[in-house]
This record gives sequence, structure tokens and C-alpha cells, in this order.
Amino acid sequence: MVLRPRLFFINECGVRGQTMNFIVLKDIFKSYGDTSVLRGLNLEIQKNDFTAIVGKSGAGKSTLMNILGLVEYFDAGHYYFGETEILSGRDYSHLRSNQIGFVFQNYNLISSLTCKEYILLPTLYSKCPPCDVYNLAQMLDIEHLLSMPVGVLSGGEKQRIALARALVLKPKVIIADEPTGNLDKDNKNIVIRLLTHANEDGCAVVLITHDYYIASNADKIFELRDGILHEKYL
Amino acid sequence: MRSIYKTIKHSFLMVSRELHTYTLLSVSIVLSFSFLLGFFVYFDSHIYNKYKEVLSLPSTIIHVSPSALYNQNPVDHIKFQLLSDRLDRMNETNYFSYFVSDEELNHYSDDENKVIVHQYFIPGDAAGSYLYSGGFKQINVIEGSDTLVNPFEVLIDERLFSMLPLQQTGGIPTVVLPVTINGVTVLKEFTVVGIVSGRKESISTSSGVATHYCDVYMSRDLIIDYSCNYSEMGICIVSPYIVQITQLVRSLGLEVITTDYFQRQAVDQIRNQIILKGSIVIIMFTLLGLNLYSSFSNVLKERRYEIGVKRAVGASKKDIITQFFFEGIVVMGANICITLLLVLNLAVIYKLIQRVFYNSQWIININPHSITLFAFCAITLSLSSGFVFAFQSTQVEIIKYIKAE
Repeated sequence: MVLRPRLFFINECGVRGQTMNFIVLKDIFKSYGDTSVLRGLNLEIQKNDFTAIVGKSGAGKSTLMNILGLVEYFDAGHYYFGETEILSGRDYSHLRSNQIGFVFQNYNLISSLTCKEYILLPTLYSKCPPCDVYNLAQMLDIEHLLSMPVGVLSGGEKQRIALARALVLKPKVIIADEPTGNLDKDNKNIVIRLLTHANEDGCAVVLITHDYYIASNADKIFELRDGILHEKYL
Repeated sequence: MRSIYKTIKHSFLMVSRELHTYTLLSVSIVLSFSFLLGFFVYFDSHIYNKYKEVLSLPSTIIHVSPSALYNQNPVDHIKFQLLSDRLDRMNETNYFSYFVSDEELNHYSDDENKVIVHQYFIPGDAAGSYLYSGGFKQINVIEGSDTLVNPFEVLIDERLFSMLPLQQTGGIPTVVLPVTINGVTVLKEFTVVGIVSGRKESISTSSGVATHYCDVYMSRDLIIDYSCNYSEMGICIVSPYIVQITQLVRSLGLEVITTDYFQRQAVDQIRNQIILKGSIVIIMFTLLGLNLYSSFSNVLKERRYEIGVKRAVGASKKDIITQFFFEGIVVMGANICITLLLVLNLAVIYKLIQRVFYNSQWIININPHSITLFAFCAITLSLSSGFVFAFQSTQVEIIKYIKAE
């Protein structure tokens, strides 16, 4: 299989149903010291894909997510993000701010900010217009939390705030690392429903989880095993 | 531009929200800069107060006195006459001779106060001139006449005037003073025609009696016409020919003191003290820089997680640099303002203490060089701290600190 970004398919309107490889990883290697985590990993994500990546703890799921989210460098291989070939060692903050919505497993909130300030944080670094924060907050049922400091929230509220922050600039891809890992069933359902809605609105979603039930919401499921991805059919 | 505006606004927000992380740093900045500014204010004020009188004098005043302790030697009179003859022939040169009684006359005294009157015998039109009495001082008439028309008129200083009995201050005040004529001391009534600004200090003796030193300026005619006794004599000269007159006076075997000499001596001492100040400032600047570097580094340690998160959600290095640079500037600026207020208040308190407890007019002074130097230190250290803070903030590895949290 030859993996190349099909740039000529890119349509700024993002019409659902058209196929185009938005993210392409080819022969990606990553190791920490002597421990090899990714060993020639390949992945194609199209613009409207809802992709789940599952795997055991320590399989390298978070490393893969960090590489996909452009916050960690890979050792070897090729990574195409839209039209851009990602080169290891360079800073792609403009892609992170304008095109990627990151949802972290441990929320990564900034305790000195209020919920609204935290949700609007990416707008400081992007020229893209944000969506209406109150609408977004209503969808996530967090409008009553907006003026509160993030430090006082419950786990589920924190994750919804983190999700709102990831969605505020209407990114082209959402990368979510175990977004339901610390949540109860109700909150899990809220988060999955929102990710599904975002995907239906034309946003590619990459969901990293060890929970096959959660993964079953995705269109494609890959298992990360031995440093490479294996497609799974549920 | 809008992006920078947003980042600056965010910097202010973060400073207000992260005050707890800036507390120690702020204390460090305020203490360090207060020490620096306090040093400047104290140093400059000390120099100013020490030399203000000397430096305010005209540099053209020369005082001549006999070399011997006993001044009624006829030879001295001849020397003075020779000197007067030469001075008469010099252009732009004015002079007058005067006499001083060295007897500390305890004329006014009671259980609590003792007044010691120091008598100067001057020409009738000598007001406004300078005399030498342990230092140059001006006969500065602040009220009344500045001329002594007849021998029993007198100019007295403020302190003595304030101690005159009330009934005298209502009309034409008079003062009874002792004069020694041909070895016999008698009390004479003098009409006070003018008040001269004078020394205000009083000294309390161990027995609890306050001793007041007062100056009176009497007519020189008392010496010439009434043969009053005196113990010192001198000539005060105002002339631009300082070197020539000094050489002439020395060739006559007389003592000479000039305001120019005192001023050059003062300038030399000030120069030495400025060199000392410069050395101390260099050392303080270095220590301050190291202290700020260390303090800002400590603050940054507490903010690495925040930087990691911001970088992960899209902040570029430039955004982080801008935010932390402005945070550094805001924190430095605010603390320097606090420092200015603190030092100003401390200086005023010190001035009040000097006034209340030591009866001394301590004038707060800071010269333009010190202001420039302090501004240089403040701006340089603010900018460099801001840059270092900003640069260190970009050294944060995103994943490392997100994971660490």
C-alpha cells in the first residue's frame, strides 16, 4: 500500500463523503532509550474519519497521540498533516492552534483560570474565529460552570471543560487520549456523544482508548500492538 | 498586533492570578531595589547636607588672620596695614576688617538656660558679607535694618531675638550686653536694628541646662572709638585674584583661608565618594542581577506545567516569550513603583527623626546621576529579567511537563 496525502482532493468546504487523507503516518519509529515504542507504524486518517486506537497499557498509544498532536517528535518516518510534511524537531504550533483539538487523559487544566478563560485559551494563539462559547457550553451542559475556577470541578466536569476547549476553534481533527478514562458511565456517554457530533460536523476524530466498548463508536478501529497498528473489525 | 494585545492582556491576567508565585520574587525585588535606591538617596543626601554650606559660598572669599594666637601684636597691625594698601590698588577687590571677642559671656542665664553671646565687631555696612568663625558664614539680615549707624546699635541673631523679653519685642527692642572697655566690663544697652539668620542649635549640658549660642554683630566703632577689648581680628576679602592675594598674604606671614580651598577640598571628597558609590553600585547591580535571575527561575519552575499546556493547545514560542516577557516587565515595574514609594516614605521618616530628635534640617537629595543610574539599573534589570524569564520559558518541553503533572 502506498501512502500519500491526496492533496488534490482537499475541499475547503469539507463536503462529507469525499475521501482524502488528512493525516498520513508512514513508517514511523519512536523509541525511548533502548525501548522501541513505535516500529514502522502506518496510519491514514481521512477528513471525516472517526478512528479509534486501542491497545494495552504501555503499548505506545499516548506516544502515538502525542506524535499525531505534534507535541512530540518521532525518530524516523514520514508524517503528513494536510498539505504539510511534518519534520521532526520543528515547531508546528500554528497547526496545533488552528487545526488540532487536543483532549488529554488527565484534562490538563490550568488551575489559575476560570472555565471560560480556559475554554477560550486557544483563541489567544489562533486567528480563527471561535464558536459561540455559550452554545458550546450549553451543548456540554457546563454553562453554569463558566465563571468558576477549574480547580473546583468534578472529574466529569473537568473533562467536558477540556472537551469544550478542544472544540472552541472548530478544529479539523480532534485527538482524544483516553477522554473517558476517569469518567462514570453518564459522563462517558456525554463525551462520546459530543465526539460523534463533532465528527458528524466534518471533524476527524482520533480516539485513543483501552475500552473496546468506547472504541465501538468509531468507524475504524486499530489495535496498537508491537509498535504497529492492526485494523480490528468488531 | 491584535494577537500581541491579547497576549499582553493575558500577561496581566496571569500576573493577577499567579500572585502567590510572585510573592517571594516581589519581596526580593522590593528589598533589592529599596536597598539600591535607599543607598542612592542616603548617600546623595549625606553628601548634600555635609557640603551644602561650603558649596553654596561664593568662591571668591578670602579670610586673613594673624598667624599668632595673640592678635593684638602691633606687628600684625602693620602687616594688616601693608595688606590693606596692596588690596586698595587691586581692581574688583573689596575687603573689610573685623574683630571678635572670644569671651563667652554668660550674661543671660537661669536654672534651665544659659545664653552665650559671641560678639563680632563689624563695619556699619558689612551686612551681607561673609565672616570666618570656624567656617564661613554670612551676615544675612532677615528683618530690620542692615546698617549700623551708631556704635550702640546692634544686629542680633534669630535665637537671641526669640529669647528677648516680650515687652521689648513690642516696641523698639533693646538688649543689654556686656562690653569690656580698657579691661573693665560694663553693661550697655544696645538698640536692636536688625535680625540676622543664625545657628539654631542648642546644646544641653550634663546638668540639664540648655546652652544657647547666639551671635551679635556690633559696630566696629566700639573698638576704634571706645577701645573695647577684642581677642581676634581678621580681614575678609572678596576678590577674583585668589592666587595672587594668597601668595601676598603668605609672604607677609599671615594665615589665609579661602572658600575656594574649602570647595576644592569638598569636590575632591565628593569625587572620592562618588567613585566609592560607583564601585558599590557595580557590586550591587551584579548581586541584584543574580538574585533576580535566581528568583525568576524559581517562579518559572512553578509555571512549567502551564507553559506545557499552553504549548500543547497551540501557543508558539513567540506567544510564550511575549507572555512571560510582559509578565516579567509588569512584575518588575509594579515592584519598582512600590520601591519608590517605600524609599520615599522611609526618607521622609528619617528626615522627621532628624528634625524631632536631633533638631537638624536633613534635606532629602538625590542627584541626576543617581536617578540616571537607578533608572539604568531598573530598566536594564527589568528588560534582562524579562528576556531571561521569557527565554527560559521556551526551554520547557511540552510533553515532559504535561506528563509530570
